[in-house]
Amino acid sequence: MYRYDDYDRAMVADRVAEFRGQVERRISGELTEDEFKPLRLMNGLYLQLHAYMLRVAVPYGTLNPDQLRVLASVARDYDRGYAHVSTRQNFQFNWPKLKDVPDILDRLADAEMHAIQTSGNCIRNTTTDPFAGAALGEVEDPRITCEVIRQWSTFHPEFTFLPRKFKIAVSATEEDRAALAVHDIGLQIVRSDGGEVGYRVLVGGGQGRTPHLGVWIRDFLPQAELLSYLEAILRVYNIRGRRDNLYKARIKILVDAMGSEAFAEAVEEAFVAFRKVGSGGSVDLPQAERQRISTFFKPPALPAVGETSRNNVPSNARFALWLKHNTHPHREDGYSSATISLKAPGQAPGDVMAEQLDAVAAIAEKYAFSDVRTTHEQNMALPHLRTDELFAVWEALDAVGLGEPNHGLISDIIACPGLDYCNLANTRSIPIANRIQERFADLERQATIGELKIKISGCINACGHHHVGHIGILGVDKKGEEFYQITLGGSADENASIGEIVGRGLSTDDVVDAIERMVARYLERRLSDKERFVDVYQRLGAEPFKEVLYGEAVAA
Amino acid sequence: MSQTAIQQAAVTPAQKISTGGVKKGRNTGTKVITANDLFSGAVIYWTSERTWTEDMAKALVVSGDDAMAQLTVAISDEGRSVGPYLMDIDEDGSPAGRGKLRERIRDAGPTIHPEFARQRKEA
Repeated sequence: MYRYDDYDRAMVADRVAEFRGQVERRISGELTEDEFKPLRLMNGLYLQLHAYMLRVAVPYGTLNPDQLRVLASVARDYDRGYAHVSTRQNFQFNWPKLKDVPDILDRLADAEMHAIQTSGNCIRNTTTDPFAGAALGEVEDPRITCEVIRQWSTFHPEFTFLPRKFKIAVSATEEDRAALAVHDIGLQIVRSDGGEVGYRVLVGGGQGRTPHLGVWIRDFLPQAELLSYLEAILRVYNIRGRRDNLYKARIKILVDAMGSEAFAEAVEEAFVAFRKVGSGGSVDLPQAERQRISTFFKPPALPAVGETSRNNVPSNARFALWLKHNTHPHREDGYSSATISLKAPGQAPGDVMAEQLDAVAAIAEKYAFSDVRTTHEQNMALPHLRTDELFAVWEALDAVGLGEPNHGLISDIIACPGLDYCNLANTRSIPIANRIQERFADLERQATIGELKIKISGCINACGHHHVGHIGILGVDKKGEEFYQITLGGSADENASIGEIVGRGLSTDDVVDAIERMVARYLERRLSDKERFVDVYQRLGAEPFKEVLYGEAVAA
Repeated sequence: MSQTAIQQAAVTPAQKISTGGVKKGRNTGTKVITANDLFSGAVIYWTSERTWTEDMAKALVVSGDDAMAQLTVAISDEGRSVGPYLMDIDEDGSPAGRGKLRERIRDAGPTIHPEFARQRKEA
């Protein structure tokens, strides 16, 4: 993984020292809250319903065991014993005290972590495939591109005060595990017919109150020209994006208003101008520097083990389900990747206890070449595991409550913090997730249902990604009461789609019954167990599900 | 209330105010002033002694012009609080109106973690 050089270390240390001074001045009364708020937000510090919330950057979701232990220590020493994995692959702490935050940031800096670019109208943490560097069929490790973007975008003076926040995702496989289509910019690393590595470029995706799928504006961008092209996109957005209306300030609104062709032309015009400046003036990265960055992402030395070991596993029903649902093909024979579910029954999706973080650190050192990832689906992952050690890995995970075999199943729910924590939320999300998990607690039943992605947001800001859930659940406030609106058919993968609203909102008591009826309808109508819930929706449309949404069909 | 006053109230809507988060409301009915503690972020309420408490039962109940006047004083107390606003309460002093659930959760703590229920103390 990327390691700090002296410049990085000095930059982060200076930033912490600066924030320490700002906190002291706020406490002493030298700064008003209006003056302090933008400063704390630029350091990842929000104020939520009950307490401050500190969001810690995990660039492209990559962590080493030492960093996990530091995060665990922060949870223990400054929080309430747990942390939370966010949908941008970051970590969040829900209970820090203001005066402690500079000390927390100092501790994080010692482990090469920070909270920069986790808030504000800047380019946020670039996200990617949690199996980057290990995935079968990958063109190259997408984290190299993510790190290039990180170095280019951090403190970039032109892009520090954009019209709104800006999110970039990178993927390097045909299967999209990074939700490219709902990002401001999505980059798919591809190989040209001639074998050259470059990018397919998408712009204008996003969720929130006006969901948009991004549009592809470049089929092939040479790798060496990446930063000029990104800078051209950002330049067009920064100049032409709206600043008069918070809800119309994202790039998706600009692309929609201009039309994707006109937007692409404007980008090309700016891009050509950048390129004319030529070497030394263009922002493009010299090949030698890209090469230097890529050395940080050299894959671990994986001893040859052959492909015979996957079948040599003990008979254990729960492990068999984990093997089926939580493991993924690795590019090397004899190796696998695995998802660590943070969706155990009754747990807030994405929450992880300090002792669990310590356990994952130890497991990663023993079995996973000290490489740990976070996922945008609020889970964690171990990208490099010997297949013949999967049982031992799962046993160790299961011993600390991290062996739930439910990845991609109905209980593997994305849920925003909702009204239990969030200052913007209208309704709670986590209790709805827990009720669904409880109703479908039977793992065999979950396995029979197969892949079904439920995503829950407690308000229209859509932090729980409900627009791209196979079943999306949006909490709405009706005169102080919680109701939940259902969307169907959303998807965040390579066949991305925005879910369709299927009717009036359901009460808290009704929503889980409605989910169960729709799942039963799916099982009745599917042609085989290979046909997923979302496939049946795409084949038959919403009507069969609408029929059972409110229970009338059952009564009839 | 005189007939004239009733007519004036009918044509002059109560002042639009922030009621927490992104919610907006009108300055009608009984209120208490609430905010977050600067140091801990904990939920706090404005008292008749012009100080803050974590116990909603000890909050000063206000209404009308007095509510706006007290809010102005509370907002000026920047050294201890962040973001004071007026929240609706009903006759028994419980959260009311559109923000009822939000204010109940702010008062009690996250519904998913009963172990983190608030242990009240003076701010």
